[in-house]
Amino acid sequence: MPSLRDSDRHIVDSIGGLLDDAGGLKRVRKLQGAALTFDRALWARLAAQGWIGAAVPEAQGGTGLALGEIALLLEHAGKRLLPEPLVQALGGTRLLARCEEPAADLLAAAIAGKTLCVPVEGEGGAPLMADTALSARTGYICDGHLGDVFLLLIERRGRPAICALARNAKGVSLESEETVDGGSITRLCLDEVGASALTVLLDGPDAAAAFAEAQDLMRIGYSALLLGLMDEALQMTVTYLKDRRQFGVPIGSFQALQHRAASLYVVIKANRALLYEACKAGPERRRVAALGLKAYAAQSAMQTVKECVQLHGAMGYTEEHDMSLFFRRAMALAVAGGDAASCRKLLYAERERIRAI
Amino acid sequence: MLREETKSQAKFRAETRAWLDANLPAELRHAAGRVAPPELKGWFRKMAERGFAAPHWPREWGGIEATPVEQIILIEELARVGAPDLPAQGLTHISPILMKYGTEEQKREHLPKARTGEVIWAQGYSEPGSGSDLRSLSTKARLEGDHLVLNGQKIWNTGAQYADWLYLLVRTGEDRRARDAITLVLLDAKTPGVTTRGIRTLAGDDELAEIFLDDVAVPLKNVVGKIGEGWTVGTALLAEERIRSGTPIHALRALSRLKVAAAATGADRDPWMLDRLARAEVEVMALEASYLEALELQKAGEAEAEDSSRLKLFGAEVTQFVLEALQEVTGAHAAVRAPRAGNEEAPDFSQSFLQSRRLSIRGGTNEIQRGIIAMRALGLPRPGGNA
Repeated sequence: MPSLRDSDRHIVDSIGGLLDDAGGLKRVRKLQGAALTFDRALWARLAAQGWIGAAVPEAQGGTGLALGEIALLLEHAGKRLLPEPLVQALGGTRLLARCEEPAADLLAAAIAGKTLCVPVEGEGGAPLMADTALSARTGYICDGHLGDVFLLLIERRGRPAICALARNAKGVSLESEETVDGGSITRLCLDEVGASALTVLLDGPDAAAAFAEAQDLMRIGYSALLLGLMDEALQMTVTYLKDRRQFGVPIGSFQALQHRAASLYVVIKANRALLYEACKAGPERRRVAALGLKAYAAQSAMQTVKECVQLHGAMGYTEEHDMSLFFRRAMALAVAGGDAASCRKLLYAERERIRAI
Repeated sequence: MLREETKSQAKFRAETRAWLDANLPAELRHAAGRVAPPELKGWFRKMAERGFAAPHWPREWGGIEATPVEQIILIEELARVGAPDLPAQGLTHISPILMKYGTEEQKREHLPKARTGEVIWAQGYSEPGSGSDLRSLSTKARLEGDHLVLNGQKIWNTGAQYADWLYLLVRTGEDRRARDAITLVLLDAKTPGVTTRGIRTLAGDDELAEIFLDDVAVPLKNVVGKIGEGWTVGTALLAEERIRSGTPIHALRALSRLKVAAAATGADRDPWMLDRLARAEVEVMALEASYLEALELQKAGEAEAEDSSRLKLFGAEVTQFVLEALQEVTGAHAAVRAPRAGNEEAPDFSQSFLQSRRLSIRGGTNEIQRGIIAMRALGLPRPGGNA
């Protein structure tokens, strides 16, 4: 693994320190057990450290981190199973920043942690058709129940636009289903939402490009959380394999188990390489990179937690063991921003852009 | 490659593509069967003249010191045009060893000819009784004056029957397991007492060979490093160099064949097959990113010994995964020995599939690599108390 620069070290230590100090996995356990709760104190601390505006240029009040630095931040948040909707907030603030002046107030409130703004796509990823009043169901959003303002990509007479829609606007209802980790998948049911409820923030072809960029950022972000999660799950498992003794020897000396752990190591290293390579993708390949990465991370994380539970034996199947937290969080993050199969489907549609060969 | 190319990288790609299109003979493109080393000599020389045979080599020895990104671009372009692999042992194994441990005389004599393919090299490490447990090798080397006299047998030696020179690990002491009783020697394959014989493979070719050594005299000037240093010189310290055995070229070539086949058979319009195709894309993306990262770490001096184990096994598995997708895309014709000429719906499949089984075996099986990762990278205890 490459050695960290000082600025990277600062990111790793700050987010790690914040989450450990807030209670580490004990806090995560509490949140997973209590459905749909939100740790507002922790959210305020994330805002105070500047992480919510991490993807916003400094000139617009953000922290102005590069994509690779955001990935590092989230990788280390993922190691600690960060339950808060930071990825969604990063997508939202990035999108608001692209909307510039019309979104300035909303952006400031979002960066301060006061208003959670979440990008929402139409069902199946299509823009929402809003030639007249808007009646539609959106796609699912991970932990969308926490959103205060939703940022929609709409199409009006063939022209795309980014609109802000408040959760309490007339005609908006949320359909939330609780997920195994105490969060939700949520979609918006829009029933004749009038033009007055939709605040246009960005109009024209730039709107679609800005929205796509936010989606890519979120897919890369969820993948970074998953990378941290799988890395930590494997480390816990390796420790267990060294400590646990049967037949008079550590069970980690059995090749049947060693090879399974080694396979996970290979896959996790590949995820890290792909994550940081995807962060370097240019505008042309960024979408393909983000889709491929999310598909790979979702698949690899599920493989990892399944194997890690198995390698822990009966202990791994208990609620008491922290691996249960990793397993359930992996299930939720695996579908956030699109599950592996739907990311692959979108990826294949973009295949011409994938590679020069 | 996912990252954005700089102007000079884009120029390198365009020039490389144009050169390959103009220079690679048609009969060598996307050859399903293995091309025997003698038929590759002309192509080898051309590649060497362009600096592409060993692009990462230092300029001092005729390389072009290609950056990691340029190396990836070259790999992608070679895969696109379906170029055959050049015999790798001379370029990526013995030459880097000589650069690091060879005498000036050894370097001057062997490096230029290895680079141009004028001299083809083959490796002699494994023996009938020493495969995965290489350290137990028993080919004897007896010191007589200024010579070592070799007696024994080597096996699984890729291309040895076509090789001009061989590099061998031999035992120069009595202790059957001692590391310091192993020596690396260079051997002219025409030396009296050397017999090589091809071994028919699962794929029906004679890629592998065995080497019989019967009182073969090797001058001491052909010892690399010191007598008794062979284990270190020939294996351990060069684990890092072996990162190149994880090259994504096999997987990229398989993927390029998969795409052509999917278009020809209509599989790319079949929703069920599309997911297989996309999975193959994603796996190759991950492999390519891993390899590029490893080359960059190596350049920065930050590669770890287990990186070569990881990449070697990952590269083999991804290639085999892509070929399994190709098997499904090919349908009934997957079982055909060689498709009828002109039948475009029947991709030429079986040869490359049969050959791909070697990838997870040669250079230390994937199981051996997993064992290395378990112990070195994860720190798990040695199994079963074996020494």
